[in-house]
Amino acid sequence: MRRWTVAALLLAAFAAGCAGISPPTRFYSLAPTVAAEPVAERPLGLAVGPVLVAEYLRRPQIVTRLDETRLALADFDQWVEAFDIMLPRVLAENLAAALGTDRISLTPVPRDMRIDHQVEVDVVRFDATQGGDVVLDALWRVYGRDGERLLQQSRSLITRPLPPIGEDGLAYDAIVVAMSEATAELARTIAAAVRGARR
Amino acid sequence: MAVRRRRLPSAIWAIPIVAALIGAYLVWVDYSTRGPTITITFDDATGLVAGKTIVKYKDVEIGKVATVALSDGLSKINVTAAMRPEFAPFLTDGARFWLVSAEVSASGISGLETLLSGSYVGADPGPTDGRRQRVFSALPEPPLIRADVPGTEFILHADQLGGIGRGSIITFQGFTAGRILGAELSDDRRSTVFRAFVQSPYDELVTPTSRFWNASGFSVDVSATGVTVNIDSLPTVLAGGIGFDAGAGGSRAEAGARFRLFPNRQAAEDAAFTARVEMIAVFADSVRGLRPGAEVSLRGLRIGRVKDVGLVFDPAQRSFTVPVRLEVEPERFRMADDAAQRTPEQGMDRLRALVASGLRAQLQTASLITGELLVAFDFFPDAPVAALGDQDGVPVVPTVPTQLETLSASLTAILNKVAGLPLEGLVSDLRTTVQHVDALVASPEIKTSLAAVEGSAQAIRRLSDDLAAATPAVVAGLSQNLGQLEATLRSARAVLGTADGTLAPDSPLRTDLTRLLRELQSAARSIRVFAEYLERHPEALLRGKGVPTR
Repeated sequence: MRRWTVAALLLAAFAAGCAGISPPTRFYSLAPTVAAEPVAERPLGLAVGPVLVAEYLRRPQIVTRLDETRLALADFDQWVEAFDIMLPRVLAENLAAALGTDRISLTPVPRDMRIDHQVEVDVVRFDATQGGDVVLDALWRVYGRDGERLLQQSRSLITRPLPPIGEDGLAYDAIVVAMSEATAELARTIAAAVRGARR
Repeated sequence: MAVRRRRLPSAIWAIPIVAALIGAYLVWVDYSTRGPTITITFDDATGLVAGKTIVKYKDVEIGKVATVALSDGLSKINVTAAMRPEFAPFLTDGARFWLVSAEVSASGISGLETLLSGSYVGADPGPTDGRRQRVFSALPEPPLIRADVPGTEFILHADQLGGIGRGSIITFQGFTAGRILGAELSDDRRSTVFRAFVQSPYDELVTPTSRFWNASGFSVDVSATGVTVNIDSLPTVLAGGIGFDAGAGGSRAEAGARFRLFPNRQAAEDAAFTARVEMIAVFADSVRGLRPGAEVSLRGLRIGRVKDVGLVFDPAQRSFTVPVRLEVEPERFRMADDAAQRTPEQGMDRLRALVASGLRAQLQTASLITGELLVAFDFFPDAPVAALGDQDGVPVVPTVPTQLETLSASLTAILNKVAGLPLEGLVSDLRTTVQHVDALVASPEIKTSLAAVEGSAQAIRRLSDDLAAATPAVVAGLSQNLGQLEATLRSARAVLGTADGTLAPDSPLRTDLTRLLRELQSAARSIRVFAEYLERHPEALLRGKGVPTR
């Protein structure tokens, strides 16, 4: 009997400690927004990768920039998958749509796939400044002939404006939309370079 | 005539008289139903409240604290308590009182109910035939055993406390059989004395030959035979425990009987062999690795132990000898004839006869790894004749050298023989032989021999010519062999192809490996993210993720 009393007391203390309930977390995903070109008769084989994402983005939380040196992690607004896994995939989907091909793969490519071009991307910065813009800063390279010859390399700095901050702080929906658009813009730039290299 | 008028008191007087009678009756009733008031002296009266704290026996109220006051010297606290009359017969010199408050210790949690109800005074009744008493001294702590629990108290002696203390459990074959009531230093301050209470019916099992041992904690014994881990029940591990056995039987031990508390069960079992015969064995070998307590064995079975190892210099002989004192426990072996009581003289005669028929002591290696030695008794019928010696009444058993020593002795003998060989004569003989060979080579016979050798060479050349003629057949055989080699290479390539397929980028093995790696990567990432979040918000473990504050 005495033992039960002790157990009940301990349980009560434990339960009291656990009374707090976490608020729900909202999850987001980048969306491919490039309008799909019709698939060409002889679609080109494209390998996308490696896409290197800056280390500070390799986490589920959405990163926003408070000022030039200060960043914030959104504990309740998170990417549904790790950002450095999602970004290459969405970029590849955008590229496939922009180039009108269905023969596209992230590296490592399957052994039997014929590759015409390979695209490498280094994402240096991709975040939203509070109340400002979404900034995507990326270095990219296009290789030809099974990824052996460097055809073109360039750096793109893409900004997308954000709507002003509302009553309840940052509008993460708007940030995610703007980031999706920035990704699509980068895909269009790279696609143009690939087309140019083929001519 | 004067009327003698007897004046009767007025009837009105009856009323105060009746009132007085009723009053007296009430006083008497009150007095007779009121129990005795006792005084209990406490050292510490934490939580005692006058008029509120109750005196309990078996959780039933038997009295109430009336006053709490300091004694004259301020060192004690005198508590008076009004007891219920039905408890009065038990307020004799055996009654005990103590303060009950919550206590948490390794052996358990007690008095928890006092957290809510406040402390109370526990009571244990004295014998009804005892001397009546009204002033008591409270026990410093609650007694472990109530006065009415049947059982017997014994005294245990130990060299050390060894984790045993008040409240330690006494077990008999795993059953809880009692408690240690207290521990204190002996009068000479050299050993520890325990008061052990063994409750009925286990106290019947305690005989004068019973052995008690410390069963506290757990012990790990690593020896040449392996690793042995002994763990008793959890309470004994936490609070210490004592085990005992029934010993060799016999009548029941009396209350207050004294026993030795052995440090462990093994020691208790070894102590069963009480008879010891001391012997000396003098060794000429090195006794490195022989330490007191080492085994004395006969045909591999333990029959005793080494008591101590000495070193004696003999100036007359200018040599050192190592007399080793042994304790042989004759109860460890049975006599086949099991004759009537043996006297020490008879035993000595028997030992003498054994030595005459070849019984010797020898140093043997107990463990090759640790280099530990033991003293082994065995029969060496070929050993040099020796008789049982005597040193201050202790028999001296003759010894034979160790196997290693025997070996080194025979090696020395061989070396001596080699040294005795006539080497110089051999060398001169050899030299003459060489001179003879020299003369032989110079002789004309050798020249003829050389001519014969030349003839042989010609024969060999002829043979090789014949072989060249037969070559095509050999080549054909060779090409056949080559064909077989090619087949072998082909199958080897097939095998390699299979291996290549297994390790190819799109092979199932590779795919699975890649997937596994990806899973690992994502698991590692989850852990990293979790750890990061925890680092920022350690309280999230208890309270969940907090709402961000801006």
